[in-house]
Amino acid sequence: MQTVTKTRFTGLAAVLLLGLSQLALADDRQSVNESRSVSTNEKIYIEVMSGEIKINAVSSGKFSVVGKLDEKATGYTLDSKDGFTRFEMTMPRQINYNWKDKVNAAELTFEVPVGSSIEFKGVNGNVTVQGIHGSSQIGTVNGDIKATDLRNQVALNTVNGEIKLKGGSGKVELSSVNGKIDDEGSSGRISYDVVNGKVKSNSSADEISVSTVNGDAELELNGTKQLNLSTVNGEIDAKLRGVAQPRVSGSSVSGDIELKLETNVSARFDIKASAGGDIDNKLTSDKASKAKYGPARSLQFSIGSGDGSVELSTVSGDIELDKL
Amino acid sequence: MNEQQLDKAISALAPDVMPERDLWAGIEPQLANRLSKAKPVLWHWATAAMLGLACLVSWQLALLPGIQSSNQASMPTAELMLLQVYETQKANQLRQTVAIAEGFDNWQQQLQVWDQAIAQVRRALELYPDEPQLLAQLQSLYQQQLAYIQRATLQQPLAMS
Repeated sequence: MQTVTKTRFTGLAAVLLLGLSQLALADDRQSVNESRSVSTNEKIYIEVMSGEIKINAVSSGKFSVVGKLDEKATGYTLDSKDGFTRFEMTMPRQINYNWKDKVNAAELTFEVPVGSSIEFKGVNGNVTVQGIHGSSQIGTVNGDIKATDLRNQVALNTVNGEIKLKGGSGKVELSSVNGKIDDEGSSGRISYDVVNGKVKSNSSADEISVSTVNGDAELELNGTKQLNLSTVNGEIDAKLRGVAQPRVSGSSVSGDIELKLETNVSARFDIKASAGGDIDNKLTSDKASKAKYGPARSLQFSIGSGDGSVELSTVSGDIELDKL
Repeated sequence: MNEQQLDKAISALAPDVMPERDLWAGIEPQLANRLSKAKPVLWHWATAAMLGLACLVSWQLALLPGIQSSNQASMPTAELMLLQVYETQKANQLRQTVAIAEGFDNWQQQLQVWDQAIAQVRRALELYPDEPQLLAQLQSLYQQQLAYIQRATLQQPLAMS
């Protein structure tokens, strides 16, 4: 008898606890489940201030959004007309938002046509986007962007987040102020722009432009014909494979630049350090010479028939040339 | 004067002329006597003239600052022109700033990084005035800084008069 009473009591307590926990975890977020037929090259604008956002491309002419809005959201608007679709999660005018509080943030998954042009704007939240072959313009402030298989016109930018792109192609612009950029397998024309973040790239793009202020860049490039490097205080380490006649230009203020080239490279080299920088050439036996007046050093030489060109300059950083 | 001009000027000088005999033996005993002798009258006149010239120049610079600025304005170096253009633009952008954009809390520290880099390039330009690569770098740094201010701040539109 005692055992039965004890079991009942335990069961009751468990039910009560479960109820209490359900109350504590009550999800007040508004659900969304919308779908529209749209053109295959629809222009789509999405604005979601906060949350975890997924944008997936589908082969049909369909726009859909499924998930939950932020608990602080006042609702959403969805308009779709004449090739333009616009979704916006509406928020109160005045909002004190802690972007680290992700418990009741929005969780939305969008499906858009493969050939559509997407513009996404957010502030606090992470975005995952994949498979869009029209154009993608994704911007957030405090959040990461993970992207896969984006083509044609691609512009991803964040302020305090990381950008990871896999398989991007076309004209690709990646920009983060304080976060890291990680590019894997891109092709076409790529630009990386960071202030304090780092750049890590493994790319086969024809043209690459890298700009950092304090951040470092580590570049493993294959077949890149044109490379432009710029840093203020960062260190740039570039390995350029599969190109015998590269066109490389670069400058730094006090940052170092290390460039490794194929052994069969054919190019003219013009390297200059204006005020205190060193030039270390391991491609040939040519050595940098000191200017007659002032601290400048310079090095000019050619390898092979000099078809390509390498022009690098620094104020007080070091420049190193080496073989792969 | 750049390196080439300096080389040309040096090459135009007469080559060293070697004395026909060892003059030092004759000079050495006279040095002690020379130091004890009174300075010639010509030296006083030269000193007075130099002091007078220095006073005149100081007076002109102090009382007539327009002379200096008009000379500078008539022949601005490329560096000064760049500074004038970009510093004015920067000051305008900062004056119109009404708020800081989300995520750019440390924007002023960041501006200092560019200021330091700009100062570093300018120091190099003191050694090599009008060096094209340094000027291009200076311009690029200013453009980056202005683009950053644009992105980091919310600006009041210019009032139309």
